[in-house]
Amino acid sequence: MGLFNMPTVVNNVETLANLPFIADSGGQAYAAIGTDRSKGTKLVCLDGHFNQPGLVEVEMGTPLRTVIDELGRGFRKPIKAMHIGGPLGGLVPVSKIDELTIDFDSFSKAGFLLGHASIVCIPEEYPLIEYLGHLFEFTAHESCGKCFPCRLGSTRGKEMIQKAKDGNYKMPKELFSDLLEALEIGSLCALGGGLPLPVRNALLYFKEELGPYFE
Amino acid sequence: MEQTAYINGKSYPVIQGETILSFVRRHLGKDLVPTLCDAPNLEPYGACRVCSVDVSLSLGGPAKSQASCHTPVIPNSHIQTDSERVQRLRRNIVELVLTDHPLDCLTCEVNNNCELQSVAARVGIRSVRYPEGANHLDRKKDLSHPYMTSDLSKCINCARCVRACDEVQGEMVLSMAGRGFDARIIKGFDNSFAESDCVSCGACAQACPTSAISDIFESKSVSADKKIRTVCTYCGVGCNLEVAVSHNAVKSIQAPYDAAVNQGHTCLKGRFAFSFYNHPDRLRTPLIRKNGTLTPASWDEAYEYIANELTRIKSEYGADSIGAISSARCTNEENYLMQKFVRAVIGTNNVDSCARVCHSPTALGMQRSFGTGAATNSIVDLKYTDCIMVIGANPTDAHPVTGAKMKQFAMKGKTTIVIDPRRTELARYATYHLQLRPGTNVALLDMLLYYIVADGLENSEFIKQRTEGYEDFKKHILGLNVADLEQVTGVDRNLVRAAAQAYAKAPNAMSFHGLGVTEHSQGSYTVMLIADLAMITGNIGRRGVGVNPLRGQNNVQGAADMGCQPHQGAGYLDAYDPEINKVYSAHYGVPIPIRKGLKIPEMYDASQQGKFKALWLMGEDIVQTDPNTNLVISALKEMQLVVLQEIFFTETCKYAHVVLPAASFLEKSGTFTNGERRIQRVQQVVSPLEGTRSDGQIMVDIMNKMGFAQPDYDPSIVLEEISRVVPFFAGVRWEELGENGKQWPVNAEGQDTEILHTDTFKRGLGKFHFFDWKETQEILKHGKTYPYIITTNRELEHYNNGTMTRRTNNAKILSEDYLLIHPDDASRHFIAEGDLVCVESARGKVDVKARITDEVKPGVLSTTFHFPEVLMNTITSSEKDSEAMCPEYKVVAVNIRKSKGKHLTTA
Repeated sequence: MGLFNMPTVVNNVETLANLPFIADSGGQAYAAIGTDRSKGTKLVCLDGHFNQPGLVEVEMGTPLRTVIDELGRGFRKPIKAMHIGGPLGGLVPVSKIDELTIDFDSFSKAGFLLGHASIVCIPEEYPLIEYLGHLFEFTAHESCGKCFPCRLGSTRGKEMIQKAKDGNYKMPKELFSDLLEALEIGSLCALGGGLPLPVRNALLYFKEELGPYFE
Repeated sequence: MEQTAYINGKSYPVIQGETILSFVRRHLGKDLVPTLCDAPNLEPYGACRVCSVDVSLSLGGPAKSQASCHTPVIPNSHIQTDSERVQRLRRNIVELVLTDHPLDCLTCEVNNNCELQSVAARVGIRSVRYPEGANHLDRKKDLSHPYMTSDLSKCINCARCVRACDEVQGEMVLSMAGRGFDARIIKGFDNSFAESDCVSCGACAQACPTSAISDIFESKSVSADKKIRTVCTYCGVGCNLEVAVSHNAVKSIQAPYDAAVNQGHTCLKGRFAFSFYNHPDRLRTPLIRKNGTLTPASWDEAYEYIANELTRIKSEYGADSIGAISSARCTNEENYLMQKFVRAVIGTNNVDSCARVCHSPTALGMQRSFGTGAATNSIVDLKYTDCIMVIGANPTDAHPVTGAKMKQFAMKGKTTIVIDPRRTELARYATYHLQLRPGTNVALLDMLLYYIVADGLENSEFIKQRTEGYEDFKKHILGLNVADLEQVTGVDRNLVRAAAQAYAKAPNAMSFHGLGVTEHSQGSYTVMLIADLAMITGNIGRRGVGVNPLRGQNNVQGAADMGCQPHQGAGYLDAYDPEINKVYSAHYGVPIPIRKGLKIPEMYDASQQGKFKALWLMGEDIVQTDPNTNLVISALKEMQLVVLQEIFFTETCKYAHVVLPAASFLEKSGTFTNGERRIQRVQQVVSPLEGTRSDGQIMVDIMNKMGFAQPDYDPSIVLEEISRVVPFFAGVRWEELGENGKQWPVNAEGQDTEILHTDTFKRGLGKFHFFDWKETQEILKHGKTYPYIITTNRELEHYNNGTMTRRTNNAKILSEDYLLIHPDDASRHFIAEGDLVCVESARGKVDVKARITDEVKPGVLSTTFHFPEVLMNTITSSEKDSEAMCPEYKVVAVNIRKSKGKHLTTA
């Protein structure tokens, strides 16, 4: 049940923005754009680390490299990873840029998430542990508090990372992995369930940088 | 084709739409999957995620963890309840919970009965690995309320209390405030239990899996020696109670979830108002009036005195100078013995019960219409009906558990029609509230019937097949002048018409009525018009329909069933029919009188005429509760013997010659029959207070004393005797009644009956009756001098004369009677909130505090009579129902003025 106990459709602006074209040219024409399993176009938001930040619309299947180099005119400063697809999207190391195209299949096969396709860059000098702390803090802040894993787990994760950053504490790997699993498969919605993806990406691709914070 | 799904590799049948949790529990028991936020009487919620299981669409296929409580079963899916991953998930979630929970289990009130504790043990937590972080362990306890307590440092945010308050009671007092880690339970506008609108039903405390919300009796602690199931004594709903007993004392009460009547719910009277039972005020020794003073005496002396006096009075004035009023608070067996004593031992039909002053018009009216004077359906039918019509009843105060169900019904937007002079709690949620002038029920029901006929909404097929007298009835109905009736009732005809259409067009419509129907000079007529409404629309004989009186006292149905009325013996057989008299005489083994007996008001009249000399009262406080107090007192003063079985010294005790200390419902066994004809077992919980005896044993003792041999009181033996004379008890056996009792009629094979009149009416065809509205004599005689109408009502916290509830913490919640008065009337008389108002009728004056409210219309006042300080019945009249002699408590002509309080009695 939705609003006022009636069936309710919630659309985001991107969906509505597609309607004029479909109304004008028909569904067939729209379906002809993009890849087999990701039809149409995608709006990609480029942050201030690009030489040309802003919102661009690309056909699904466009190489990530094209978006970064041609549409964004490259990075302004050295970047080590990009958080693509929103706070619950994947953390893509720059080494993976050439393997990805802007569509759902490509991202999910590589272990990331296209999501809403915004690109937030993490500069070379920015500590990833700070970024992970921020992700937990964001989730804790946004958590509605209904389901136990997200309400408690996001705060406990935030606290552990803070403690590890402050020194004299190293996070037990098993506990951290248990926390991520509980959030991922136990949460009621995608907020708690989505947090583990970028965290796991970070642990996988930035082992050396993050290693000292763990037992 | 039956659909199946697999649990741990084995296939089981699926009910369409059921959740994984209920599917697993149905087949493999309730303990296989642990839960924290789930509760038996609440909707699935999906917060704790501890009930997660792995689900795959094919054997060995990719599995997804799903919270089983709110996920429907997918047919042919494979459910793993204990995969390693699921076990790990549960453990990890509970570990997180323990990071914000005081680990003081050994000193916790719910130690060993804590769901968090059991689940933690079950999933195998050995340590909490997280470093210390933010927590809520410093939250303060809330001990502000007379019953409810909270210690939210123990809260796990499962929201069971919030949901119990919303879904079970419908009070919406508790809510979850804030978000995320800071989400917390609040009461009202984030104040204390005492300051909130809490109605103390205790549903939240029972629902809470820890001790975060509890009660002063620590009802979740395990310190009791045993738990005994019995039935509440406070109203006709008949809630089952689970009483925890420790060292022969009642420790606390909870409501069993498997109770057919109350499904884990009950109200503050049932759950908390038990401490009267060992109150210092309890009567502990018989009292005999000597030289004008009630003096302690032994039981033998008391029985000797009574037997001698009864024998003397009988020989001097005849058996018909003696009578008894039985008690609808007592068991069926005790009521049966009382009428047996009066008929077989004294030799008169002068036996009546408090049904006279409440639902006697229901019994009479429904017998005339249908043939049976009892609810046609069951309360569970609320689940199956499309429309309810509640007439002259305030169930959220007087029948709280049924009231809560009706409130849920109304809050879900289902068609609810309330006919009441007051804007009751239910009226606020109703689709239609017909706020009529007190005393005009017949006029309003005539209007409803008029519109059903005039708009062609009658069910012709049902009328043709199942009823008689319709054509004549219809002629009268169509001859009504609706404009006149609109004037009389004060209710807009268009609103009445809309309500008539809603009731008639609903696929299934159910009516309920209370004392606002019966306690009128046209009470029986009103009941028959309600029966007309059901018949004209075909709303009889199936699920979700019918005519359903909300019985006031816990066993008012039973007292009447057992024959505590002069004209009908046990089983409603005609006491004045010579053939039936032979049956009764053979059954009791002595000649049974066939002479007409006296109803309660006739006893008072006969006493004043010098013809009635002895009255035996089983726990009835007629001085405080019968109308026209001064008349009752003068009738009592004329009598030579007044015997009173009581648990407390009531107003009536002041006029008794002998007072016998009786046992309360917690101290004896027997059966109560609730408002849906359900005969349930009352089981002794503690032994009778020293010096007291059960009412049943007292009846047995006096019968033996007077030479009528009777075995010691044992409900199973009496019940067996009842089953031989009451046709609809034929198959009732004590040991077969089980936890949830049986609804009569129970045939010889023990089969009971949920719905009456399914194929034919008890009387064959249902009978239509038409009645014209008549203004009550009370208004005709006194309306000019006394221009206001006062009507009487009940409050949730107290029960009738309040002898029991006033001796509990309920009195801390509500401590006095008050007068509901409209702001216009208040300002006309310069009355401010809380001022004492002198209410004067043709009988007398009382002083009562004003509560200014628009719940009543201008010109109409309303009040309770729970407190002897006011003795409200000083002003009520001796007007009564023309047919059943039920007093007209609901329409009293009065005048009002601001008072200095000289009419308050010192009780």
